[in-house]
Amino acid sequence: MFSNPYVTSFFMVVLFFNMVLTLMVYIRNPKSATHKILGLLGMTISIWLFIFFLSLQSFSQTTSLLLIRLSIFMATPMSTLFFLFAYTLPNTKFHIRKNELLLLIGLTGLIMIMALTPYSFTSVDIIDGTPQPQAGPGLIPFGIYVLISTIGGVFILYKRLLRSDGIEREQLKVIAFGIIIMYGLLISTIFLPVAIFQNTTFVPFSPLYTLLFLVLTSYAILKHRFLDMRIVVVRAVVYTLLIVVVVVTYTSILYGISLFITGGETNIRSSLIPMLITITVVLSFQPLRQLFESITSKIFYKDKYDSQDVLWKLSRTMASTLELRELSHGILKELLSSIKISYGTLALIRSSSIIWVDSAGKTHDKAFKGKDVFTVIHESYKPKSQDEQIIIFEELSERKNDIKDIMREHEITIVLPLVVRKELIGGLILGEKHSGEIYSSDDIDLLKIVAHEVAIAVRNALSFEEIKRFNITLEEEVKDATTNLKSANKRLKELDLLKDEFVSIASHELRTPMTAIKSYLWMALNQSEQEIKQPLKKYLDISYNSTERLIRLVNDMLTVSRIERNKIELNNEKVNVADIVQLVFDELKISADEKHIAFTFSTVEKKKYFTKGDKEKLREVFQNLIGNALKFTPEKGSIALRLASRGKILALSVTDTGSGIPQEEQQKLFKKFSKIEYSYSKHSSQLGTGLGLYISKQIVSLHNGTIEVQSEVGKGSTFTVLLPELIS
Amino acid sequence: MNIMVTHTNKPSLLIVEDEHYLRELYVDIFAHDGFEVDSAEDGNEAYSKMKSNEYDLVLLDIILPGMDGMQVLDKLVREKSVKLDNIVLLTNLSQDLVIAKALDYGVRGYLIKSDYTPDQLLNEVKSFLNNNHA
Repeated sequence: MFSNPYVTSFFMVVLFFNMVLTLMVYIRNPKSATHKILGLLGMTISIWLFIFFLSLQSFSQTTSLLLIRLSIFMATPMSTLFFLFAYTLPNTKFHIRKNELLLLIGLTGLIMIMALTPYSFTSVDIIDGTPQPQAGPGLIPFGIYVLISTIGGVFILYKRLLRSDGIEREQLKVIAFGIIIMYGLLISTIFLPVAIFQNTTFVPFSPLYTLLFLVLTSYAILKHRFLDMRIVVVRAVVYTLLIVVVVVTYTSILYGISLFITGGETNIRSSLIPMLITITVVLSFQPLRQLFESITSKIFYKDKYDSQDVLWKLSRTMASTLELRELSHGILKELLSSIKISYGTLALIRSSSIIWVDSAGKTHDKAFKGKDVFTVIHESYKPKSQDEQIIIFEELSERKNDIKDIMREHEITIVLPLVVRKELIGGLILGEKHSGEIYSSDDIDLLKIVAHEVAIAVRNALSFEEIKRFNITLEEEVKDATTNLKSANKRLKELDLLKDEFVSIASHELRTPMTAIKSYLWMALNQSEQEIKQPLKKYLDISYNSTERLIRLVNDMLTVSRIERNKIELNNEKVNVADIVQLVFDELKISADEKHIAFTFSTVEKKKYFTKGDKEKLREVFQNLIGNALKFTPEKGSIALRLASRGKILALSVTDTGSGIPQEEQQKLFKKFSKIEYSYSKHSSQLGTGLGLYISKQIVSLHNGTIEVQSEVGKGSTFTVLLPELIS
Repeated sequence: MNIMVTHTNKPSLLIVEDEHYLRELYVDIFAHDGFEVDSAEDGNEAYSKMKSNEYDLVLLDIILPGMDGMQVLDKLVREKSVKLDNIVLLTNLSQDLVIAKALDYGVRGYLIKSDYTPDQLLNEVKSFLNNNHA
């Protein structure tokens, strides 16, 4: 029943499918432990299947017995390898202790050896052309070993399945399912019945079980990319089908021929050898072809490149850098080496000039003339034309063609424009191929795609360069600006120093003659033996007062200059404001009395009014404010000084019964040379400098205080100095 | 003009002033009030007079021809031969740094010429001589 050609063919198909898959798994990644073990397992299954198939054939008793024992011999490492596969999946490295591995190998070897002894199968009877073996006691340890290793492997897979997730879990599920089905059926329907009951009913189905495993593994691979094998499996299936078709066809033909020759006297065994030869031929055809092809192409420069591969490599080069130099080097190197071109040039243009040229390969002595490069690149791009955007030397007409002349002169074979968004940014200029052949249409197609990608990559690189350059320019500009600022600052400091010096020298020069005038006028007024008659005395008085005013002006200007250059230094000490006011009050009391002005000073609280500041400067401020009040208050008026503490703020108010200051004029009071003083000067016999209030306000500000003014025309004014109170 | 200092109970005074009219005026006032007055019209003269004589008080201008007042002080400080605590700066220069430096050297004080009438100056000088004027 096992000898008919259908069964044979079925066995063969399964066997080859198995072998091819196994080989492919191994070749795909020979360094991975999982691939290795799966490959070995598949190979072992294939060999076992082959032996098993043979053992079912009608041979002599001795041969049959040997084959049956051999099938058990091969079944043992299957179990071991299955266990190792489960143990390793999906790692690429083999993690097992040396001792354990040695034990496993030893045990496997022992059982394998025992399988060959009469203890496994004592004898074989051939009943109806089918061998019926007699199981011996040696099969018991074999059965136990197979069971343990299978259950162990399944257990490991199960545990891993529980831990895994995602795609790995799906793959493991399918593979585990396939393995369990295969082993379950093998053990339950073949090993055990044969070993214990000598029942071989299900034996012919064994290839089906392995096929199930293979199908499920394939499914895992196809569906879930197990071990990156999807493509490999698809190829393997196609390849296997091809082999099967060839083998079946050949075998059928040979079988037919042999039937014809021998007149029907033939059997399956005699067709086995031609079948094997056919398989060998088919299998060795492809590798041999490749070997010879590569040898010949090396000699004749015909090494065909893989377009996809070239594009992939170029894409990788272009993606790996933004540096123009690296980029053009990489592109030219890859193109020249894969298409085998003598030389290549990458030229970039902007408006009407070439901004970048890079060449590789055997560039000839004649240097490119910029104009020529520019001309051919420009010629290659026809923005409005539907023609292909390329110049091929051979395709140019010979008649009166300047471009062809240029190309001939420089040995240019192809010019490809580099275009981004309809803008010509450069060109790819290529020389002839090493082989001397013309560019094929495949070459041209590839180059067109490449040109497009190169254009984009180059544009990106150019943008990157621009940004880099811009950054450098920016840095330089910032540096320049900083230097300028520094020198300007230095110059300003110098000027400030000069101004400082000028102010002090100028004031000195002004004061010197004024001192002489003042002193001699004073002498004239005070040192004369006889009394000075009017109006001479009046003239001298006016002169003296004017000189005094001039001197005060110079002093005030010096103070303003100090304030504005932040050169004023405060003596920061704890001072009692009441004491300072009292001092000024006493000083000015005489003048007030002379004008019959009711001049009073009162403190609201019975306490000391401390602030932190410069006693002398504050005295000047109070002197100025109270002096002003005296100046602008008519005879028999009143001036009241009032000092109070308003929650951490000291307030000294100076209230007079002067002419008052209109609202709109109050804003101007504290400005330099405010005109207000002049318009109300008629009320005063003593002229001010126009700087007093400005200076006072600045000094109070330096004390973190302020000066407020309230006034009504015709009634009088109140100036209030507010200073932070120092709570001791 | 060069009056040698004699051992009398009159206070001796050196007036260093380059401005002719002012020097004349100051010398008159102080002499009139009973001072032994000596005068110098530039830095070099002032320096040599201060080296050779001891004055109760020296009124020293800063802006002077030749060696200026500060240079005179610098030189005296370097030599450590003459005490500076009898020197009062009498000047019209308001340069804070210069004045601060002079006070650091240990001069008795400083007066702004234009701020004083002759009699006020006389009073100031007298108070310098009578007590430790602040």
